[in-house]
Amino acid sequence: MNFPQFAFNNVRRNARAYIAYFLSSAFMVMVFFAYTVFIYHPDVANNSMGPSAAISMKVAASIVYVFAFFFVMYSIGTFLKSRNLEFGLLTILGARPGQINKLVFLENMLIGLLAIVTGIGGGMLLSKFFLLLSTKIIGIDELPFYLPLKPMLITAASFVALFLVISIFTLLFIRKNRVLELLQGNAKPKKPPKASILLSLFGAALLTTGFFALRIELNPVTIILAAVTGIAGTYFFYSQLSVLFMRLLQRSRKSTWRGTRLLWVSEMSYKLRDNSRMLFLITVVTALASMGAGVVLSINQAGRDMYFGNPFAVTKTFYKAPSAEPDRSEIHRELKAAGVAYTETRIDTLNATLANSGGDGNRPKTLYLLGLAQYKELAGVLGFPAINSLGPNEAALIASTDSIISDYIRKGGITMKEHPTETLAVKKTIISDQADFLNKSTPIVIIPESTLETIRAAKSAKVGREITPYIEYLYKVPAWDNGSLPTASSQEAIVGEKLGKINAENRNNNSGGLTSYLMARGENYLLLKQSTAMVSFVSIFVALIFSVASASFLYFKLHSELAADIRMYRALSKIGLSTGEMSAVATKQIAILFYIPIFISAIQSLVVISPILGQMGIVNVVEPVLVTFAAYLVLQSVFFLIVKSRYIHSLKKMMV
Amino acid sequence: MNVLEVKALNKVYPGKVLTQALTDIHLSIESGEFVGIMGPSGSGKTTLLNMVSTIDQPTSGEVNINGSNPYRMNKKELAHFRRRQLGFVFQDFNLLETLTVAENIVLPLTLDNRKLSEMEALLQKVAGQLNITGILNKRTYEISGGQRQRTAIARAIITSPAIILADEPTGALDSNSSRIVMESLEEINRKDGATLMLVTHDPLAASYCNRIVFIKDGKLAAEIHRGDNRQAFFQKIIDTLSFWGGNSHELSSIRV
Repeated sequence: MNFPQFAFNNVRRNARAYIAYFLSSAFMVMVFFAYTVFIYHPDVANNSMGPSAAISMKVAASIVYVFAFFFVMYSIGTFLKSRNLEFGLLTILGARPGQINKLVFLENMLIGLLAIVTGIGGGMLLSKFFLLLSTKIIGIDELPFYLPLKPMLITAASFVALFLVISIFTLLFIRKNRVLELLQGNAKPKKPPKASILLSLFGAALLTTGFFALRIELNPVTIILAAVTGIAGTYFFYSQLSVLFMRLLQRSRKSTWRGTRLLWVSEMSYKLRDNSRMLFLITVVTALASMGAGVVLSINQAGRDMYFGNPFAVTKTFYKAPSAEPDRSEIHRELKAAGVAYTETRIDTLNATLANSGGDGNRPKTLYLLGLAQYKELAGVLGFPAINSLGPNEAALIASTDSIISDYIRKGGITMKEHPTETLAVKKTIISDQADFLNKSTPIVIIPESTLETIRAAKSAKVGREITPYIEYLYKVPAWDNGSLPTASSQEAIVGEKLGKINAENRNNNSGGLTSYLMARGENYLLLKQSTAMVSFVSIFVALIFSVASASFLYFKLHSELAADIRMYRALSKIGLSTGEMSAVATKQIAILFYIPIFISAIQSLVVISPILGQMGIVNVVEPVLVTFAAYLVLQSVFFLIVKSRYIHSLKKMMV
Repeated sequence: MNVLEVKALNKVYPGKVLTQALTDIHLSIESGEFVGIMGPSGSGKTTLLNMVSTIDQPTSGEVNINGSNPYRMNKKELAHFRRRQLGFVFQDFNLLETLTVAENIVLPLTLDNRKLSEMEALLQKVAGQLNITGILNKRTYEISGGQRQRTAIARAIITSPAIILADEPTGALDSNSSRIVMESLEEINRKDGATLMLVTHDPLAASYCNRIVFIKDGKLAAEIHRGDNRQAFFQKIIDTLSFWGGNSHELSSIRV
């Protein structure tokens, strides 16, 4: 048996311990490879969404790579620690330090190369499917399969470099010269976890800073501040705060001297301390991945709400009317070509600002003013309640369900900056989920034409030039209002896309500033959906990797401590610990290790996402984040059950 | 009243080579007795202890502890039985290093969900008895071997078990610690009337017992009783060992 053979046999005969680590390394190589296959696909550059999709995949691939680096490093570090006894024996038998280094190096590289080959092989099988899936989800033309030589080279080179660097790096871990220390290996008493109160307070302060930084003001500086303090605070949470919490818990005899709690609480404090770095890493990446997914889902949800909140399929706004009957022939032409019945409604609206709003850093609240006669027509189309007449100082208000009416109506009336002398009494308030066609957050005030003209004149006099109302043409297509979302192939989407193109051309041809804007709700919705689909596609794969890798790391860690745990539980079973109690103690510990990063990162995601999305006008964030975490929880639970049953199975055999 | 009754116990280890570890063992231990089991390596002492500890099934025969047969219980009942009726003292202590001395001692009580005040009172009582009150808040690796074994004894007696089973309790200790540990066991027996069964190689440790049963090749070989004088009893042990196991010179090397 020569030396490489010795290394090879070491790996082969220890396959049970190495397998999870090997598989997750191979899985990371595979996903990295799949991304590079897409990125370097020859047809991607010619595709409309292709380049931006490639960029987000590049980001994902780099995240995978960075995570792979830490994962491999921690895994190998843990592995080496569990093999101290073996190294001690080799030293006693006369192995030179150089030989042991060579052995470790050979083993690492062996597993690394195997993982790379398996990963690329699996990736080749997967890449056809991956290309199909990615193009389908992103919504671009299908990409044909090709022989990915360049991605193969890039993947192999990146991961060979990764394993090489880490293998050299890990040699520093085993620089223990004292044979006795090595021989004692894990039998040495473990130092009890200690937490410094100062560092714990510092960690808590960091987390608080991050929390408030996002809530006081949202700008790039505070976001970076929140990210840095949040990540550093999470580290201290695991290394200090959690240990401190456990210590305080243990100090109270009343809470810990009960049932099996005495056992698992004390064991847990060691396990938390030993795994704090890995838990920290998992938490941060999970939080990042789910923040991405949460944002995507929230935006999707907002897009859906916007689609359903708009009763009009097409809207064209003229900011400055060129004539009494502005040109909108393209809409008529396309709608006729599609062969659908439609109604056209014209409304002329004037912007106004609510008096006594704004200041103190708040934006002033705006309103749209609409004449009564046009409202009557609009009400007929939308089925809104009729208003027959309004006095000169009377008004009616239309608002979407999300608006807070009391912000606008004070003491039963509305006062505008442009018309400060009069308070218009609100005769009727109409709240409808169909009121999003102008602007979700801006209510419409209906007033008699005479009042409208007064305000227009006042406004014009103030700015010194003639102000004309915006002219909006609203098109309702009953055939498209079937209560379901459009797909890329539905008629609304096709017509919407054509109109969108015409609008873009007009914009490009017209150098004299924007005079009109055409909006098709179906096209808006689909564009949003496409761009978010890509992000969610990429983040799903990243999240999947983290879940698999973290589970494998924990499995591996438990496996390396199994011998010591078996000794402990065997002794305990002699003094009367039943199998059921053992199972409860072990399950609780494994469950905490598996689930604590998920719960912590869920909380972090909610804390971070809500102010950011709040800025974007999306309020409903809890649900999308919870959906993301529910999916993650299910996945993690599968791994938890596998790991737990294997671990308890090994322990059960040793119970007397 | 007999706390332990072993009747016609046989143990055969199956396998390619059938091993008859114990043959027709009869043994009774009365309440308040301190009985030693001695014999050379491989004589079957540990097998007998395992049967009494309910952690190994006898091939035939019967074991009765405090009137009940543990081999008729299911696993859960057995765990509860061990927790309440048996106290264990091991050669390698088997203390949990993640727990403090106090927590190690009360562990069997917490598993039984006893009241905190009751646990604390019992803890103070046994700690005082074993003279380890000063180290209750220390971790197990911060204390000496003798203190560890006294902690283990405290854990064994805190449940007031029917019988305390000690397996080579002095095997890993120096002579001074051994003496203190054996004196503690003797005191528990004398003052509290605890019933003890001690398996040992060490004649000096065995001399603290009231009665010693010798096993050789899986069979009961001899039984001797202690009079008033421990010195004379020690000599008697040496004589018996040399009679059954060879000469006295040879025996001293058997110690583990």
